[in-house]
Amino acid sequence: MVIPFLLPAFLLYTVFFVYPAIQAFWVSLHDWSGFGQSMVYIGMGNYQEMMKDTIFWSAFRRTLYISVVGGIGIFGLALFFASILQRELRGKKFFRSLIFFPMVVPGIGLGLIWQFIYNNDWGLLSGFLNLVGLDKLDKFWLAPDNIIQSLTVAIIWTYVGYYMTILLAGIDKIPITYFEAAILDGASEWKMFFTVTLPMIWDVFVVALVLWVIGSLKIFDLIAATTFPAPPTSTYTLTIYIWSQAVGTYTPVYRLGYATALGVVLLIMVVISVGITRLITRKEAIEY
Amino acid sequence: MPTQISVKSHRPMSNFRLRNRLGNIPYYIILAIWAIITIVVFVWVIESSFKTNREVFKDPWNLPTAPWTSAIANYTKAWEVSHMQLYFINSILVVIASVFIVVAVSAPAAYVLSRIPFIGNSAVSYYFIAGMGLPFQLILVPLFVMLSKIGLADSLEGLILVYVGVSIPFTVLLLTGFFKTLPVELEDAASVDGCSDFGIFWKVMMPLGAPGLITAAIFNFISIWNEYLLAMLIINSDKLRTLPLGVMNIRYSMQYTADWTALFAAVVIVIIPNFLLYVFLSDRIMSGLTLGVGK
Amino acid sequence: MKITKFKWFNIMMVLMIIPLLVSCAQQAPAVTEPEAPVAEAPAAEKPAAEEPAAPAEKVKIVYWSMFSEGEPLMLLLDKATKDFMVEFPNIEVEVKWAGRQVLTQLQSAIAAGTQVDIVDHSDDRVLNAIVKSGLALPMDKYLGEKAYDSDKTWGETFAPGVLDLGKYEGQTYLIPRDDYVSAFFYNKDIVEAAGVTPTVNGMSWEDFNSMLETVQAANPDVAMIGADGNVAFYNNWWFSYLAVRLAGIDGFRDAAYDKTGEKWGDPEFLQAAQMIRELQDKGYFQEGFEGSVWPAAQVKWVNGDVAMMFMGAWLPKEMSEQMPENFNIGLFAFPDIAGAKGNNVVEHWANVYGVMASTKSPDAVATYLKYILSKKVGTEIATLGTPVPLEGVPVPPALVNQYEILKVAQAMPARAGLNTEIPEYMDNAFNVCDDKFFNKQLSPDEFITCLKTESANFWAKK
Repeated sequence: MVIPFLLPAFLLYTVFFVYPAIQAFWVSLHDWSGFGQSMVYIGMGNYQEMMKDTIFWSAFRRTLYISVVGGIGIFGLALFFASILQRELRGKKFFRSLIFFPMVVPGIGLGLIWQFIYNNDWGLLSGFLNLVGLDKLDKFWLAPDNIIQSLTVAIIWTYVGYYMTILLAGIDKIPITYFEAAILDGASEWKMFFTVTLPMIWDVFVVALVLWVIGSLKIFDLIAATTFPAPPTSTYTLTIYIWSQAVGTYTPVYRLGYATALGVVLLIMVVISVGITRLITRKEAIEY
Repeated sequence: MPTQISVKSHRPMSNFRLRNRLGNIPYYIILAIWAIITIVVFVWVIESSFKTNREVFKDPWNLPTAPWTSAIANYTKAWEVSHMQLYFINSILVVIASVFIVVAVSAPAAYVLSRIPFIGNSAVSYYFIAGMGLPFQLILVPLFVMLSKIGLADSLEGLILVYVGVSIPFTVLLLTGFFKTLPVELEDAASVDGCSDFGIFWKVMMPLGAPGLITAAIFNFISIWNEYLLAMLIINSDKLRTLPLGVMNIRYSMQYTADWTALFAAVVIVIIPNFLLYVFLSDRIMSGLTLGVGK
Repeated sequence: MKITKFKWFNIMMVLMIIPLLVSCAQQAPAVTEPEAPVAEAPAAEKPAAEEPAAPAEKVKIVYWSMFSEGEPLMLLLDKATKDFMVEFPNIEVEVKWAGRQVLTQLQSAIAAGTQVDIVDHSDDRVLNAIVKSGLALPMDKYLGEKAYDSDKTWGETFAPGVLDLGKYEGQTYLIPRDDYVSAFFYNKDIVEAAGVTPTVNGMSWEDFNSMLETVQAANPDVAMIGADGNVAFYNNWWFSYLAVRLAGIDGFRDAAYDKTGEKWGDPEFLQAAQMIRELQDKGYFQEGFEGSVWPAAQVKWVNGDVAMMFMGAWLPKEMSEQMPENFNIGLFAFPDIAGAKGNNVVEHWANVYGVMASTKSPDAVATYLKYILSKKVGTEIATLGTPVPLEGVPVPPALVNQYEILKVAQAMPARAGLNTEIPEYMDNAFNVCDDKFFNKQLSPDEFITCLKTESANFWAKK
């Protein structure tokens, strides 16, 4: 029964996902505008160029920044919210649902929303700061110096609910006896969180972290839509850089070969990041 | 681990009482701040769709002067002129078909991978899961060429098959994890009763697995409903666009029409179905989230 | 084709679901079934898809449009196309309203061998996408034929010089539909109320500065110049215009092509940068222009918070929805600098039609394009506020001066042609420095150093 059960999924996945990806490796060895048959084989040429490409390296750093800083923000908040929501709170479901909600809105729509929030003239954030008299704190949110931080905040807001919910469901599965025992021992709530909750959901936490690492490196819609119509180079992440090299923004750059090579690097980056994440979170999971 | 027949049964926290109710107040404040931010953002989006273009660019706090007139103008524009109603139907078709197929093909695969220790099981599992790391940007052009060769470029069928293909890794991962949590005893009983492998799967695992399948369906629904990049590549006829494409297209055409409020209306139109789905199914979404990733 | 496609798709779905429906009693009848439809049906489908469907005498041409359904210009072109098909019953025009990403989709379509006869977009994009890769059809032959509704040749009906935009290696490939210069667009009620009437052509840099001073004094709350600092393509207008003024077109181009980057060290470029910084230091740009996201500055302009913007001539149309009634727009060319090499040069470009060389019916394509770019249809397009470069077609009132500028100025493609010729350089070297400079992260000296290093790096990579 193994084969008939596996085959449909195996074939659909192989034909529509893996096979094009393998072809992409081949494309990445070429200099190709993407138009016509003018593919020129250049071996590792695209990859060699990448090593010297300062924009690639800054996009690389920015992608990591979003992954790491965004990740710290998301998991900090997600753990915090999860620890609050594990309590018996009135309206717990309401809060839980609300924090999750941005996840179900298309990134294209969210990007538009954030572009308007961050606008200094008619945007919500500046408008709010002026309203409560904190004009001093008002910044040009989308200026080159601030834009990556601003985007990271938008990303944290969007994704925190997702990871919080994963952690919460993990907490839900911890047998009550563990907490009772801790209470008998006189542990404070916070101590309990770190000595009981966190170790008990460690494997869930690691899986959530891996999901984030994979997802964060691939974020595209939200950034593209927030920086619409032309993402400045100061906002390029790898996904945006790939996009700009493949099809151009305002400048008619058409370098599909190079863009595909960047995509291959993104894939390698995902694999390495997942490996590192697993390595540093390795720890005997507690059986229960 | 202890046997859990139903996924819904784990509510051990419900008896866990806090010793100090007053201690909750600071937490309420923090939650309330976050909640208010989120609510304000979405209310403001909806409010903006009730404004005129000039009003939107004045100040975030002013109220629409003629909300109904503006709303009718904006929603009519988004709905009819920009064909959002068409996109809406396309999105529904694509999402339902993709979700159905992806769950239908992933469930048996996940079942086999979680239950049957054949040679190469873990290799196949890794093969499936590896797809989660593949960036869509990588596959765009080869994918389109292939779809064109088989006559499926610029068609909803092609888009559906691609969505199925790219959704399989996550779905298989989620369902494999889920099937592992189901008890083995029932299958043994069924096989003693003379059921075939398919019979066991269909008569025993499917009913038990329903919560997991529904979870998988919901997650795929959300991600496919929101997907932009692949749809942009595969669909180029206006009449076949999905909703995210429609929204992005209104943005692109804004350089010629400068119509921002219709864009807000379009965003609201995109959000509404997700919102409704979410209101009715949020419990399911929440409780199901870790089925694949938890123990 | 549509129907058969759907059929096998349905069959496939049903077959894939069969294994799921088998009950206890049945023994796996569908063991290998799921494999067949996925792997083989596409192959079986292929011949059917290629069967010619149209009757022999009627030709079909396919136009992939940069417009999306619902846009005013799309509605107009759609109607014109339908009228065309009534008038020329032997030509069927199939239009795909693909939207602004049409060229991205064209990449895939070409790779897949899909029939596309006509595409449109801005001239630099179409040139780089299909002309340079040898995929475009030269149109010279058709431009020499009689026009649709004039006794002149088709080529003669275009405004002088505009067809040069579509020339590449001596042949004309691109047919312009709407054309634009970049210039200063100002709010007449602010600028002229201060007692200044800018001259359209040949304003000196000194006059420009004293105008800013006068208008600023009269309107202390208004920012003189609006800029959306997030769009690199807009930011680099300032430096490239001044650099062209001071160093001449060739000087500017030579610097960009200099493999060592050292040419950027010529004094003209530093001077250009200093002139921009001076304007910024005097506070003429609106506060926070560095973080301004399109279209924020433009909105300020129509709301009267900003006096002028340097922008492409699409600006009035782009802002028409937000513009108060009776908003008075004036425009003037980028100022000249006394004694400089590149005065009186203006950027000029167009949205153009390009024809694929692979077309099977070039004559039908030409007939269609002649119809769309006839005086009749052109006049309708112009009523939407779009400037059409055809003789005798009325100019939208806000843009009359665009053609005054073109009459006397020497036209050049975007950024002296560099944007089209070496887009990667512009994106990956020039704009990187220019964005930082324009948004005040670099001083003029640092900017020049940046240009030198980034240029050297860029060319070393090649």
